[in-house]
Amino acid sequence: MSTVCILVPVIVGSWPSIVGAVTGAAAALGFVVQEAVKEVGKSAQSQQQTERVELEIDNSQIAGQLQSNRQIILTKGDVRLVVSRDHRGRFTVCAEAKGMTKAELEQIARQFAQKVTQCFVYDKVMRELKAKNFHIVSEEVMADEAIRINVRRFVD
Amino acid sequence: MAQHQIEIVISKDGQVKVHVKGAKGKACVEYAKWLAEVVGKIKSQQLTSEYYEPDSKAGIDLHQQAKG
Repeated sequence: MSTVCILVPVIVGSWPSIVGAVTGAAAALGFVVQEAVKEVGKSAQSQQQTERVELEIDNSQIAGQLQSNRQIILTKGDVRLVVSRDHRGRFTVCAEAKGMTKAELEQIARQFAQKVTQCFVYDKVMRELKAKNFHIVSEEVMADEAIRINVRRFVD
Repeated sequence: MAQHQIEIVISKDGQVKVHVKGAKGKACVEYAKWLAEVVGKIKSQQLTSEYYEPDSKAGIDLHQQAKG
């Protein structure tokens, strides 16, 4: 052994790179993309009695001023998720549903945000590993949903 | 020819655990630093005995890009 370190993810990327991670997370968690890359303000407003929870993702910065205020709408049963980039460039997840508590919606939004982060980090790490000539020895999804990747490269 | 191995575990919340194996001396720190730049920032780092062993060859070339 030589070194072990723990890294905290920072989501910095363009809107298209976030969209890739969002669609990956949606597929993994059973959400269906209803409307992709839509302008904010044109969607139907939430109906009355619908609970709503908004979660802002720490350490996120989506680049591209010209593409501000865009969103993706996802659904799963009665739950509706709105993933967007706010005017400050931060990544937000908003969960809405009838007949659910705020705590339940917050859990759904948090789970989705975590999956997006995992997908984003996975894509970025794999891209960089390949660019640096690493060979993927093994890759597996563990029982706790973590992804374990073993890579190797030979140096002179 | 030395073999450098890295085990990367991406937890379900996106936090990443990196374990560099086979790289001695500063090389292992260079790998950790490079991956920290890719992922975000270092939360904690622990050096183990292999770090203090002499390098077989100082430094690694992480600027070399994939061919083709």
